[in-house]
Amino acid sequence: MPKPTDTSKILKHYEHEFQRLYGNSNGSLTILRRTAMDKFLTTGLPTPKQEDWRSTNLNSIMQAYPVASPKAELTYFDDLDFEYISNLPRIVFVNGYYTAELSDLSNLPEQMRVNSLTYLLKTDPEKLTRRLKQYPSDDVSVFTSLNTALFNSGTWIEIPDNLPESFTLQLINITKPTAEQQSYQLRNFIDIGENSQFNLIEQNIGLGTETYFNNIVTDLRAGRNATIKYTRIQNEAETGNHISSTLITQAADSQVESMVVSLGGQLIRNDLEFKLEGAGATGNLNGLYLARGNQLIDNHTVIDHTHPECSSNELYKGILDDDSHAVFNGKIIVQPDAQKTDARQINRNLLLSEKARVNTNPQLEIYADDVKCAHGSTIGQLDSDALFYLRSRGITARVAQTLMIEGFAKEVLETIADETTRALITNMVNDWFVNGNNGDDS
Amino acid sequence: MSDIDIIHQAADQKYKYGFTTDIEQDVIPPGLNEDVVRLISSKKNEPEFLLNWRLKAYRHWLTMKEPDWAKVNYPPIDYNAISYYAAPKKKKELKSLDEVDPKLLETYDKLGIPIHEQKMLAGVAVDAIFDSVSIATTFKDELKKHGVIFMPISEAVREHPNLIKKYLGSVVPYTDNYFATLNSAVFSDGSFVYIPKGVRCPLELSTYFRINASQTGQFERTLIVADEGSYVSYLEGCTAPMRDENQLHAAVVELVALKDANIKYSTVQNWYPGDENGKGGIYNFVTKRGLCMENAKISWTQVETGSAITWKYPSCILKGDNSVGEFYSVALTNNYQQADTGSKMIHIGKNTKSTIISNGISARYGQNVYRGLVQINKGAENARNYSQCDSILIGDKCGAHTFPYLDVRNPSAQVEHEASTSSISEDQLFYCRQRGISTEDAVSMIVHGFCKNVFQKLPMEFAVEAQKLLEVSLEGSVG
Repeated sequence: MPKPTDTSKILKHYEHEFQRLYGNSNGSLTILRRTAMDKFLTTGLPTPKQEDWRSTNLNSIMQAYPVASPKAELTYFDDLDFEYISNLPRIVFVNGYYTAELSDLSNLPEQMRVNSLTYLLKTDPEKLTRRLKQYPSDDVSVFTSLNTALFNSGTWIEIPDNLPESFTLQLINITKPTAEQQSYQLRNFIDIGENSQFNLIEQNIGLGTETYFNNIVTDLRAGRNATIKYTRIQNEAETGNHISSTLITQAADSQVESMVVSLGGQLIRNDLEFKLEGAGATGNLNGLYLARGNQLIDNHTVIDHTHPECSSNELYKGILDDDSHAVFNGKIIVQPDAQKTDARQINRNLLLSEKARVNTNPQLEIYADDVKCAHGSTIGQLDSDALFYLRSRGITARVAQTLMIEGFAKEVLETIADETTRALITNMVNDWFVNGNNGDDS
Repeated sequence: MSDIDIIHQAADQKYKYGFTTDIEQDVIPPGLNEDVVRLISSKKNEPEFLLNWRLKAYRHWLTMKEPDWAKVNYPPIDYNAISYYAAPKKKKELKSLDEVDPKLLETYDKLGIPIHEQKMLAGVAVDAIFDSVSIATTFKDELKKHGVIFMPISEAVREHPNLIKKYLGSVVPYTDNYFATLNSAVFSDGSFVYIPKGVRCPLELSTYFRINASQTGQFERTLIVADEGSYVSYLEGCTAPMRDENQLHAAVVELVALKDANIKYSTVQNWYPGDENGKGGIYNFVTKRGLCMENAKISWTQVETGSAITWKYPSCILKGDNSVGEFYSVALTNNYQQADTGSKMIHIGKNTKSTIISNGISARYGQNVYRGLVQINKGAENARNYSQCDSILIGDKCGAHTFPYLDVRNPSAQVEHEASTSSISEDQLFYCRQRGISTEDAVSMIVHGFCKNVFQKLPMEFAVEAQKLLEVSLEGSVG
């Protein structure tokens, strides 16, 4: 456990970083950053005494991580080993720096705007200030405050209204630190116009052996009747720490489907909040987390039904091996006006080893009466009868196990409608299975 | 809409058991300090060890903070404005019911506990508690024949000090939580039950509680020890008179089920819930916990319809291999009632099993929370848990919330949790009404059906009362 003195040292460190990066500027954005920094300093780092962090051991980020500034550090990219879908446009960042050599933005629709935040910070900080002001400033996680104070890279995506056909973009963040203990503060703003369809495949890939800390905040807004598929693959390095907060705000009749796959990293914490702010909006949340070694994967989701006739459906599944620990905390809130809400949530966990541990807290908070809400949660192991059945047919224990684990994961993978995306993720999941206990180098 | 009219009309139904009995009482002035603790102890002629235990609890309580994590709202409690002891002044030993103050007997009659008819009542021995001191205990002889000890805990302290020393605080230690610690310091009275080895208790044991003197917090302490291979079924039920001021009730119930023992603990809780504007009502902050040794079983059944605020999590520590814990609950919140209730199942032994069935009903402005923990420890091989928490919402101003915590550290465990929340569907109502059943009866039927799986677990005598109680409480909410 970090002692209180350690925490104050860390706070001081980030204040120092703030002074180093923005101490000399005084624009409206800096004022906003200063407010966020003050909030971070007064709130302090989370402790297990706080309900949202009670099962999450944050020791590995309770250190002074210098904030990396995005710059062209690498000139040779051939050893950057990562998978992507080759025929789809992609924007690639290496350590927060937009890397044209790896990106392919040739087929973007004309009306669509994709920028790196580093560029916008230089050219149009006012735009960012305006956008940030729309972000709820109260009740955000302390890491979001830290991010608002310090972010210096990320992506800006703007999709116009009435885009004639569905469009897919890959957003790839590669982290390969060039120094020990770097932290990367990334921010993504994604605005999708009315009636448009958009697929985003985001990958966070960690390479190398240095310890690092990614703090990523994403703000996605779906316009009226927009259809969005947001796939997020987290494959950090074994030494990587990843804290992400994602807020998805949906206008009336919009449909958003998120898919969060967590494979790598040392400490992973994903906060995902859906705000259904218009009648008839639909939010679907799917997730798969695979953990081994001494990984900690923590998924906190909140679905806030504020308007009538919205529906949400959530399915999160986890497979845990070795000493790993998973936390699932899913909250469904139905506000007094949100009549005719239909909300469903399921969390299932498969424990493969003696030492693996799961904390799951599905929660319902319901203030409207004409609703249908249900949640379910299970924790179990492989069914020995089914294993025996397979083995009696001459299948080895190992293969039988793998078959059953794959079957367990398949339910989530099948929710991915797009075949190429599904193939990409299935490949990664299979790699995870094959790696077994022999280490899982990315 | 006519349905709404029925709801509102019926919602004005008054609390049926609202009356008080004027009996002179021995009350110590409000306030809490070490002297008050000493005074309570000396008034009860307690041995040294118990006084010391109370004092340790009191000193520990001073270092604690009132918990605020529960989803309930109430104005801060001034613990120095409460009187911690009240006993009817007339205190001579009673040999027969004729000696009991007729006014008291009248009270029991109003409550439907005809003490003078109890011997004829099928096998129920009642240790009736009027405020804090036990007045009459029946069926003692018959229990004595089987070696069963069933007496007020204040007597047990003097007559069976070794049992009390051994088991008091063994399941709920005096350091446990704010309200349990307060209870340990100032507990007034309660019941003590000991079932000897291999004995099946011949009667259903029952205690009726009743808060009577205004401004008197009631701090009951119940301790039930079932020795190896024994069985006991214990019923607890309560009604309280109508009062405007909030009254604090912080009880502690400890159950010890030794090897192969079986304890069935049933509660019908009907403290005064406050009026239709949320004024008054009892604060019911209760700590209930049972310890199961090898092959033992503890089953909690509760029907919670009363209290302005309920804060209660009957729990089982499944320490012994093959032990079983069960929790069946119906919680109803009407008007401005708030309930934060549920169960904890801590699996420590191998092959331990637990079941949680919780039904919540919220009406008008009622807020109903299920909060529970299922914890499977590392050594708990093949543990099994099944939890089901369903809620019904009646009216658009009420709330139903579910906060289950599942913490699993053993892969052989099988843990399932399911919860659902819905209103009574229009289709269901339409179907009933189409067959000539009034809305009022239809809602009542549907709710009864919803609670059936819990009522079935209650002993027969209680099931009838619980049904009645729910009907009365429902009349105030749905029609």
